[in-house]
Amino acid sequence: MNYAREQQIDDAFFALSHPVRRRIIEQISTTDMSVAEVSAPLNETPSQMTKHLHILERAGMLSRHKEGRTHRLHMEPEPLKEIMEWVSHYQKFWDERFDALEEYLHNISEKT
Amino acid sequence: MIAELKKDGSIELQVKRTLAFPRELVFSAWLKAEHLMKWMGPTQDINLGLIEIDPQPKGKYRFGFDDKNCLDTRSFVHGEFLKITAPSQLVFTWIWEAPLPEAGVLTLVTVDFHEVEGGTEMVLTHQKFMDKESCERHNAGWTGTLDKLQALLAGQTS
Repeated sequence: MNYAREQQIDDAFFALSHPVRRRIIEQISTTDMSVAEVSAPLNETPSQMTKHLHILERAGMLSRHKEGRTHRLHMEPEPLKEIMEWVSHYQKFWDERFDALEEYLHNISEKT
Repeated sequence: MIAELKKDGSIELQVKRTLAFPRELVFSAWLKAEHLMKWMGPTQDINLGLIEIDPQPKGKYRFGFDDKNCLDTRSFVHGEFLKITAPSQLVFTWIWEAPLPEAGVLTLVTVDFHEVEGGTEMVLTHQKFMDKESCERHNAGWTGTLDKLQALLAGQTS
């Protein structure tokens, strides 16, 4: 079992389960921001913010880049892509099976 | 795309199809080996090379898929029937085997068969659970379509 990859997807699910963390991701999905900029519209204490950012970092969805004395927060798209890939893989799989089932049922009903 | 992140942290996708055939026939196509051989297997790239199935509650199944482009590899999936309610619902687990990347990951498939005008509507729901540890530390929920995630990815400048 590819434990690391599974763990990453699970961590991403967990990270997205909190409304504040979703807001954070939404904000930094368009542009990199400082912690102060991200915190401004959110009604969170600094220690709560630290916790949320830590969870997003652990899930690999956020990275920090130093710019002078401030950290810029950057969204890392990979975990979200993993989730989308899981979904689209099975959607394709079952779509193709359904095509084959439909065709098969047509074939056997023509014979009878 | 019909896919959702659920409150319990699981993720699920849904595929629907209306078939112009009686519900009993569509339902039985899922449980009889001679039917399954003809549709679960052959697509453009894949053949069903092995099939074992014990179609009763708590019965097990195992499929071996052969990749047509890579004939010496057979990918196995196995699972257990949790619910067989003819002709309206099937619930079974779906677990790939090593060395596939998804090996050992417990997923659940529910297929509902509805009688509709002109035939049978099949609604397949495939669900992936978080592992136990993640479930336990998971206290707040989110139900939302994955379109939101797609939008976030699309918004990426990189």
